Amino acid sequence: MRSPLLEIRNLGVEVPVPGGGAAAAVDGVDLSVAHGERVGLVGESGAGKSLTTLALPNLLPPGVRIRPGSSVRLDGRELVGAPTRDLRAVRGKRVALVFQDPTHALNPALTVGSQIREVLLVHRGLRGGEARAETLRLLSEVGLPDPARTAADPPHRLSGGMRQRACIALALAGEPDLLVADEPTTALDVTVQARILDLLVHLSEARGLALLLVSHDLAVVSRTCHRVAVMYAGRVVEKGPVKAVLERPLHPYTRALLAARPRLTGPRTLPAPIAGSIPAPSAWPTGCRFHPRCPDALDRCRREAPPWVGLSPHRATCWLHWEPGGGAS
Amino acid sequence: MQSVARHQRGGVGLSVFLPGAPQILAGRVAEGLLALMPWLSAILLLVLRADLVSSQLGEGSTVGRASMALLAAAGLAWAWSLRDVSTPPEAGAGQGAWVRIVRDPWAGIGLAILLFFAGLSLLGPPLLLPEDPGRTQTTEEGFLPPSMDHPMGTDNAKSDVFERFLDGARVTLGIGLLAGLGGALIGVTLGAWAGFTGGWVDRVVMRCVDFFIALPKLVLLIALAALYDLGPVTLALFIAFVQWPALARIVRAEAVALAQREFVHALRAFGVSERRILFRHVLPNAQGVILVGTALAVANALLIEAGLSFLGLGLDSASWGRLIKDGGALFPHWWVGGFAGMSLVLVVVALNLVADAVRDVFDPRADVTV
Repeated sequence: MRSPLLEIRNLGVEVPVPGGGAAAAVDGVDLSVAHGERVGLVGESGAGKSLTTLALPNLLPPGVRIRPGSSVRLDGRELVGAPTRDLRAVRGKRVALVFQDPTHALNPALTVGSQIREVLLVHRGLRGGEARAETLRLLSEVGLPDPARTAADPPHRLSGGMRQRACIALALAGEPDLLVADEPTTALDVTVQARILDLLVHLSEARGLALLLVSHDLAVVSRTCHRVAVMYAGRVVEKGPVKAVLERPLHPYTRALLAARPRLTGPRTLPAPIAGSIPAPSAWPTGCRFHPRCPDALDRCRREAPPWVGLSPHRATCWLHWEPGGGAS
Repeated sequence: MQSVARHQRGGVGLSVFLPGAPQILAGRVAEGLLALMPWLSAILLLVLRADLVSSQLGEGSTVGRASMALLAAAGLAWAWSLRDVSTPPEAGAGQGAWVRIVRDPWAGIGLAILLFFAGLSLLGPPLLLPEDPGRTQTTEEGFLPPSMDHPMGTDNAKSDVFERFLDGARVTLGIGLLAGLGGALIGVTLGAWAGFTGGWVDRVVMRCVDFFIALPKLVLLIALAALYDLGPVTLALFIAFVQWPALARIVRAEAVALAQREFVHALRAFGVSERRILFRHVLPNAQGVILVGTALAVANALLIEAGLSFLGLGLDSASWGRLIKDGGALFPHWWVGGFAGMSLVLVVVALNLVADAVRDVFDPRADVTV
């Protein structure tokens, strides 16, 4: 079997804590993405999703660092601890990011076209007419109706959806193998959201592009991804094929997330909010980190971190499904 | 619709004789004045000095080249005005920052003043002064009031003030420009680098800035002027040297803010190098601040030069500051220093007007985000 495109092992990200010291906001995340695969990363705000994605090409803000012992491999090459020059060759070229808010992700003083041409120059050495032609091709590939005009426009002339398409074109300019999209539709209209998601799926299939999609919304992931990983308080608590996780969630947190979604079909019930909120990284509970909010918490959940249970590939970390001497492995 | 068409037909006729006039009538003062001025100057030149122009036009002499330049500028202005009047305005066309600056009435007046003095200092000496290259014409009497022979009178040394005024314009404006741009170049580069990079670079550069700002500028310049033999270029460099810290501080503040913006983060995520981000992305976003700072630095440099000359520490050669000094107590011989003083004020005010418009156009608060 081909080795995965991206393999994250035991990733930890430490953030500074007010009053000194550091806390692991991401704590031992394992995740892999195969070539051409679409993987969703789901969780509430503060679960560590964004830090996980930023840690990949080490774009963490100052003061935030990757914990020793973490490993991020891209096609088998270790990225943690790689020199900046090597990372710069990865950023945009192998791994490209699509940001949440396209309004702020583009330089307001330059035209869309010149920003795309810059990436073409930096990563592919294209200039002049070649670069212009490729810019127009990229803009039409992401479904912009009038590429020539869009290329000549500054970002503020575009609508939100068009801007996000331009950002995606920018991300594609380096011909990456992996697109990391951090809440790419959160800042957009609902009607535009679906089209952007369809575009991402289409691009992934047409180009064999792997996609790591970060979202707080299980519905977004279910319509786009093959696999999903649910994060809570810096850890992955459940992962598996999208269909299996959504239909037979193992972890109480995943069940709670599903119950918290508004439903348009089936019995008319109000969405059930999850009581409480994710604690800060410095105050994470012992044992299972979800236990203070878990309706079914056992005594053991408070004391011991739960093991992985369930049959591969659909697994979760929860004591509820643990059978002594069986099932779990 | 009809009135627009009629206005334009009238405009075509007007612009054939007075290019720029229709634009001024339509409220676009700057563009109109910029076209009208070379046109009127060229006509004046042809009327007043037809003999000189006709004898020198084909020659490679300074006079010939200067008249060629003026006539070419007039021709360009004429063609532009005619074309501008006969093309209908594009409805709803987006206006770029530069167009908005030029169309601002006050900035327009400022730009027109600046162009007037630029033209005067470049083309004035060859075209308006007696052709004798080794000039410094001595007149029969000192302290003559302005007259046809001596438009600005004569001074105590019996020389023509107008001649000194034109020569001084070149020196003064040249020093102002060089000192302002030089100071801006140093200040913008260091400030942007410090603000964008942060960390110890920022701390070291900014402590240097603090140090230089704490020094009393005029005293420093007086010391430098007393120590060194001043030519126009050295003087300009000295002035630039005392001016860069102020600009560095302003640009740094802007760069610090821009470095936190998400698009800078996004550029890093695309593998763009820090240097490229700074020069291609951060600086263009700070262009408003940079332009305003540069314009004011030029204005400031002009005042510093005049101040030094007034104290007797400036250049020995002609400059406006020197003229103001020689004017001494203004009355009764107001013409010696008066014209230079008024011109200096006009240029400084014009620079401030333009800077003001630039600030308005680039003001982030006025920025319309959809």
